[in-house]
Amino acid sequence: MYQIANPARFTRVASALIMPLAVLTAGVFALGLYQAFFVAPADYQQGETVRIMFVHVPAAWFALGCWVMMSASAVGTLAFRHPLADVAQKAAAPIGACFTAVCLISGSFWGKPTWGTWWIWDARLTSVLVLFLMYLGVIALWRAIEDPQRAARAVAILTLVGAINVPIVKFSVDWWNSLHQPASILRSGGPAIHPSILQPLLIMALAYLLLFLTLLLVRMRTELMERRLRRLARLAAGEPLLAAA
Amino acid sequence: MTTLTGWLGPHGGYVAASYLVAGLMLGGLALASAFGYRSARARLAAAGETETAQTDGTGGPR
Repeated sequence: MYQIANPARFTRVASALIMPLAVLTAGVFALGLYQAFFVAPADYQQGETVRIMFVHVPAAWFALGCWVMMSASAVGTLAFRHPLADVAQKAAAPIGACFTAVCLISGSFWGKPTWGTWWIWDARLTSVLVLFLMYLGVIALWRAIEDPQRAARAVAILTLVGAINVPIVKFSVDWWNSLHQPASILRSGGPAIHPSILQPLLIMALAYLLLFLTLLLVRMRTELMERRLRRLARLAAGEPLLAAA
Repeated sequence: MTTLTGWLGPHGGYVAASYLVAGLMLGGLALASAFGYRSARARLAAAGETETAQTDGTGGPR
């Protein structure tokens, strides 16, 4: 990992990876969508609406996974001052926010025909809404503090505090009475759904993972360039460079 | 909508809307990320720099 800690070396590695990753992402999405619409059977109770699961569940997994990754980056920023940790954290926040929004909106479209309501203030839905608001808070904090080093520390602390919400989201369906169904895949005892539905779901999850990695690399490269541009602007203005990048 | 309900059942609209929203949001984020990258690279080139110059992560020379 420390081999690519140097941003220039990271940029070269990322440049080589992005295009193959993007092509692979498109291919796996195409396969996943084909399986979701033409291979997976309709559910015996929910009928065709079960197909919403293939966009909703992976979005939920990676909405949480993105915050876990940001928490690891926060530790890298605060404890190890890793030169890419805060770059990764800043790049990941909008991706996580987008995944969470997809999860909330597709869940709402699933809830209406299944539960008879678009929204209910139950533990799972509310904790995911809190996760979305925390993503917006992280993005806003990055924009509110001009000095990137101070912003990185503040965002890292906010991210670690917000990590408390991750197990709450995951276990909310077990801890409280909830309209939302309990975990049926990531649970002790193995998946509780039929392989004919599990397989397309896992393929779509792989597509989401590849999309996340592709977008993360692109946005990290962009952020590194934006920091150099800010430094050049400060140099041109004759400002000191030690206080901030 | 008639085609959707014929293919995806009476709730086909909900299924289609879910995929449409997910596609627009994820596709929009991908496009925004790509344009952001192209814009930053163009501005850096206009400043006489290249993306792979040695830096320490804060934009300074290494």
